Amino acid sequence: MRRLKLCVSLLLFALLAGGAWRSPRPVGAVQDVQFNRDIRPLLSDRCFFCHGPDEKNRKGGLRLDTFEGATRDRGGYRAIAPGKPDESAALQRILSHDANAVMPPPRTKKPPFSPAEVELLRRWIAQGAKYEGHWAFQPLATAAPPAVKNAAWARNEIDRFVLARLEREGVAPSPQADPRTLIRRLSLDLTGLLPQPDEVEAFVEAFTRDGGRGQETAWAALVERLLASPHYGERWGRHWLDHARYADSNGYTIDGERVMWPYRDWVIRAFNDDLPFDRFTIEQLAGDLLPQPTRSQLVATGFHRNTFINEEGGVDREQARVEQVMDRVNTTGAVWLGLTVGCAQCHSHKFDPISHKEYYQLYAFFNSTADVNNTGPTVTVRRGELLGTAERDEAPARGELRQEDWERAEMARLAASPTVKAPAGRIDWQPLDLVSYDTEANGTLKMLPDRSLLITSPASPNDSYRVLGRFTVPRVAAVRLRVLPHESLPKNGPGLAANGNFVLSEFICETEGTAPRFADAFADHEQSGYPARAAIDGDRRTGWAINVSREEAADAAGPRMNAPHEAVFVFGQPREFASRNLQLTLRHEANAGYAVGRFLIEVAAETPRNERAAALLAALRTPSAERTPEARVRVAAAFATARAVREMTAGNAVAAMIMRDIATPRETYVFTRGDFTRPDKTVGLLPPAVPAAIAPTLPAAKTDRTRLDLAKWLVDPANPLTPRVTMNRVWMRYFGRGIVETEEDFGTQGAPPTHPELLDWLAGEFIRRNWSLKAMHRLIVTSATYRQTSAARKDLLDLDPRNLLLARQERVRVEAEIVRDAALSASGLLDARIGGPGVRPPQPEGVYAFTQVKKNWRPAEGGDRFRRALYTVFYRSAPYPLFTTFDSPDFQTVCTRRPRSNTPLQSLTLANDPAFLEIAQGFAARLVREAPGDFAAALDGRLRRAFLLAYGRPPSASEAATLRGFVDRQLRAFGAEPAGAETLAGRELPKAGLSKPEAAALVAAARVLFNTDNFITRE
Amino acid sequence: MNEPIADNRLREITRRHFFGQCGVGLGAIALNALLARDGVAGPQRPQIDPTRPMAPRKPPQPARAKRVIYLFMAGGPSQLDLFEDKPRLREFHGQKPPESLMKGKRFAFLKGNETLLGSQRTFGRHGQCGMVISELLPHHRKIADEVCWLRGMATDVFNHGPAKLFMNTGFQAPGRPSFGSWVTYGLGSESENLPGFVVLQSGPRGPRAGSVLWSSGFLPTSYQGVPFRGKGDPILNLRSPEGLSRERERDFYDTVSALNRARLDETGDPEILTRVNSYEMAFRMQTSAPELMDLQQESAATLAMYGVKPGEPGFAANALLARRMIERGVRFVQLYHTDWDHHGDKANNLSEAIEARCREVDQASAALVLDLKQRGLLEDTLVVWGGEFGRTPLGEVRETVGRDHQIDAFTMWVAGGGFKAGYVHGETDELGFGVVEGRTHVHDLHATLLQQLGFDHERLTYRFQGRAFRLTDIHGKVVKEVIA
Repeated sequence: MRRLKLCVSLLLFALLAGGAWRSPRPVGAVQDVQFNRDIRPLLSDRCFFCHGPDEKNRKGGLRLDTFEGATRDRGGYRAIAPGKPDESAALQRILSHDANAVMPPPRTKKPPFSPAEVELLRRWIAQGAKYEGHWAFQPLATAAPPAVKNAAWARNEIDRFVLARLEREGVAPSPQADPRTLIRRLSLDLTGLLPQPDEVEAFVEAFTRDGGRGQETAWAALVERLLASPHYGERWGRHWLDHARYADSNGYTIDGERVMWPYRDWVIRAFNDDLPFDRFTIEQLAGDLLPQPTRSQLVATGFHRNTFINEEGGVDREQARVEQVMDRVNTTGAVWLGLTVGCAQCHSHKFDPISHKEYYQLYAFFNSTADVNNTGPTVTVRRGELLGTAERDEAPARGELRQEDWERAEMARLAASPTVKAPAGRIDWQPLDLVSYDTEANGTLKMLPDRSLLITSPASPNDSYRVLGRFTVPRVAAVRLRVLPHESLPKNGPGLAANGNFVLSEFICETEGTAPRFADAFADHEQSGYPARAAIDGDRRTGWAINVSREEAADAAGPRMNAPHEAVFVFGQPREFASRNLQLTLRHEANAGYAVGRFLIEVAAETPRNERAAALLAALRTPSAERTPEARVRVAAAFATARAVREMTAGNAVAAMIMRDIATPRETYVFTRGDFTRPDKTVGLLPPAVPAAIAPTLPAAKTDRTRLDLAKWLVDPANPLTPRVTMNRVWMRYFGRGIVETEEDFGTQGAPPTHPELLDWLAGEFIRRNWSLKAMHRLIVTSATYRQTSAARKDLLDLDPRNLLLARQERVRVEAEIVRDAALSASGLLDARIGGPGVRPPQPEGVYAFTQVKKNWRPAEGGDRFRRALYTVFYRSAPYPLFTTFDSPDFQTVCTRRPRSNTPLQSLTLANDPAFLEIAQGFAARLVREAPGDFAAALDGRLRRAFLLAYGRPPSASEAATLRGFVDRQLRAFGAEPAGAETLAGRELPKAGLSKPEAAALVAAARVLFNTDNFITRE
Repeated sequence: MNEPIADNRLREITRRHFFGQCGVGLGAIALNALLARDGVAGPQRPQIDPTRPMAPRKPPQPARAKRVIYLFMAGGPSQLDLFEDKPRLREFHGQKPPESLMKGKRFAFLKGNETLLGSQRTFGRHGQCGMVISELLPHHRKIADEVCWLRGMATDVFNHGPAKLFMNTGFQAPGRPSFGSWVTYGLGSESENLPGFVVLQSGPRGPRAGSVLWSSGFLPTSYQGVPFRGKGDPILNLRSPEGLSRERERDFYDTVSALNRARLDETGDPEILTRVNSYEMAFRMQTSAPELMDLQQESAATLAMYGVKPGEPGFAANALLARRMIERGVRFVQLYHTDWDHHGDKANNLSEAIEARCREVDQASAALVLDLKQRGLLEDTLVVWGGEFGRTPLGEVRETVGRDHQIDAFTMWVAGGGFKAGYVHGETDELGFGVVEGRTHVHDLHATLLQQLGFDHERLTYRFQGRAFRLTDIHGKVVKEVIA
């Protein structure tokens, strides 16, 4: 009840205060009712659901969203009679006391019109009931920046728009933030990294030189330096990856890993090169349809390959494909048009002018893509290629493998191999007694009478098999995998590929909670480039396969593919496992559809001898001139295989997923209620087309429209939505909120712009500046509006509590990735390399307790441990915990705006995540390095340095005292009771001459700073 | 300008700040309150103090239930071997099903040559209500008259991931808030020391679809489910770095707080106050969560009742933890128990596998209901039991015998929270292909559960991307017959 009272008083407060700030309007301008500003929101909320654009659900044949519909003669009366409120039936129904007649009807559970709202409607009708088209669909207004009184404050056009509004409200803008805040703000906004102390000091010096006369030059130089930084592409590329719903896995249950990082490289490069946004759009949506597309343009189409692939058993492939196509339509609508086109999937849009049919005409653009719930078309690219760094990065690795080097290494390897050292002799192979067996993707393995396993219903093209079995031998020296033909397999197998081949990418042994590694492997027959050893190299791109060469096929005694084969996997020494259990996993990740079909697993207590390896070793030990022809062939074959494997891995070539269309387009029909099993053929075959309500239309009379036409339409200068939506989102990143707050909805249900003229000017300027994002960044960050302080102002608390007028900047908590990046850059641990495959930094134990399929997560060592967060491998079913905790989406669908929550789990993460503790140790080590000296003497200097590193500013006196007091208490406590000192101190600091309590206290101070609001906030 | 601004003043600003953020004007919110008072319909949007998003809130309507424990049987248990005795199915065992029944049906794995499969199990009628329960669930006999049996459940989707999403979020694609998120969004939580929405898991693997099942979708992330692990530290990063005493940590938290408050004075940003509160709750959780997990505090009789073995995580321990959580004010607890997907593989069959699953959940499920009752908690706690779908009357023959996914007719049960006790709702045809009476669609179940919690499912909405979304999408009808 108390709460209710509070609300009532809040209501009164709101009415007295002139209404909410939701749609600021000039004070005193209430006489003139404007349809878009005042009336449309009312009708849209209460009426359009039944009396709007959706013709199927329209009640009473009445349409209130158009002047024609509302004013049509309905047999002697009109719903809206312009100029005559009292003759307007709609108004009478709204005012009716009869529950059966009143609008909106109570059963719709829509709130009735308030007296004030009724008054607005009445005045609007009296003034002629003028309709306006929805603002977002209107052409860009070309209003010149307004004149302002305080012209000296305005640094560019943006400021004149903002200031004009402020002056109308009688509000003064806030002063410019101090230079330390400014450089930290700009560094975070443009690069996502913290400025280093020397950068801060140099900037402050330049900014304050000559009594501040150097300000503009210093600021401009800083802006240019940061825009040119390669980290700019990482920062703004990461925003774009949200739009692209980028992830490194296929989604749903199995959530297998996929190769998407080349697309991420492409995005980073595109931002760094400032690829004009129209080209940027066209390449991503239709790069494959450009004439003679480059590999880079093909990789760009990875944008729409970020859809799910459902690897679960029993999936309806067509249903999955349709869902993926719909996701592409909905994502395109959300990203470029800022519209919720997905609503029109099942019925005509209730509020926006997109019909059910038009949805499927958009769908038709994407309906002919070649991928069908699978990896689909790919293009081979080399690491670094898309960043233009391939040459430099790969120079050492890409040199030809020299035969002498290989021979030397191979000789050493063979000489050490247990399979060569082992004596010849018969091996007693014992079959595993199977306890359980299954596949990751829910396929079906069937046990045959000989205890071999046959896959009878493969569930996913890259399925893995898991076999748990008991053994009776006293110890295990080797495991043998026998692959066997079967009549149910293609060409009798033993693999599932059309020719009976397979590629076993990894063969993994696990027992008693560990994964003992095999030391060597060999097979009775190995396809060139696919040795059995490739199945124990930890690289999913390589594996064991059994195809035969032409020569082998021609040889009557040569190996055959469709025959039994066996691979032997050998431990370094025989192992004893008390549990007598082994779990073996067969992975097939190198090639889709290349799984083993039938197999049997055996173990032996003795190490088998590999005669061929012994022979190879003997051949290698013979000087090449003296080798027999047979030895020469042997060496040549082994070298060819080594080179091939190296090509697949060290060559860094990967298959990037791209878009392609099939030759004959698929037919598109409306799906009744969005159900793909119910195509509505009465509406007819639908050609690709764009929604008619959004100008401009596509070139007329073109029947074979493609994604390229759609992309060009999106960036046609006459299309007002793309530049408005894009500029609004850029603005949102700088001010915490868009000019249109509902940046994802520019439709009639979205929020109106707070500064419509400014938005249109920015959108127009974007086109005029050739779609250059960097040019727009430059404009925004050099404005006085951007440079204001973000501190709250008492005079604004009542007037503009949400800061819609922009009389100050906004404090914004940084995104999940930047939380980590900030800590890394402050500590100096950051490995700043750009691009490449994902990395696995340490993560807390137990992340996979809740996923169906456990992921491989061996934390990286060396530089990859400290890469920027955007390179962290992202599994949709089990994201890196830090990300989820700090509001990163799980990339199930497009995300254009992240929420910003503030939860206890965030506190626990920053306080206790071992990854952050490790970074805090690095931070403390940096303090010691950069402020050397005796601990007690250097302490204040070090703490001061800590503030500089974390906040870019020195501490206030009270902050310094607070942290110093803490360190003193910690130091005493750790001295008296060393428990914990060990953990905090880590290994490196005590080596630098600090006692454990000293090191621990310094790390504790770093931990405090990482946990403050200031550290993770852009002020 | 930098005078400190009083806390309660900031609170007020923040509250208003948040109202605006919802895209709903302040006037509209207050208007809703007025309308609600007058009994006029309007959206039921909770008023949330952003500095304490989990603060308990009164529901807008009279409520019979205050909290939920949801026992999710992941994979889809076979109602035909647990709750549905079909003599005709045994009679026609091995025969092709009638053409008319199969028309228009879609299954995940069936190839078209399958035949009807009669259950091998013996069934009995139990309790006053005479509910049919098979030999597989002997402990369920004790709760025959304590729960409301829903034998006419129906869903829309037949693949595990999408079907689980549908059961949790009312929609088959990811991106919408789960039931638990809606409930905590609407009601907050009574606990200041534990998350309001907790997820526990048992069985050999995680549930398919993973974290999206307890995602808050477009609702603020404060309302997403927090997975607790059944063993060791229940929450990731809960434990302070090794060796740091509570006193040492108090000093750490106080220092962080002092610096945060200094910044608050400097900037006047109320968000800092929220962060101060978050840190305080984090500190409390460090002791409250391990205390919660300590089942040694329970009597031997209670442990025996649930079948909990000391130190052994699993469904029984989780069921007991669920009770301990709601005692401590947690609003919504969801337990997943996996591997009910009994198609007829070697490991997934209607013989040993289903027997094992039943042994794992039967005793503790019944014990939970009886334990809540004896503690007086059942009357305002909803306990829900069921999978994402059921299984077909047709057998699926792989290596052993099993059944495929069935969406048209399956069984769930709900106890407490004003649901009729000892009541059987719904009936299927004599072969179990469809519901002939008392059909309860997933949306209907959601609508009914929300009503018991004090919400009109059509009015508990959240505005996102231009639309007011709800748990029941545009469907759902409250099932009046099951309400006591």
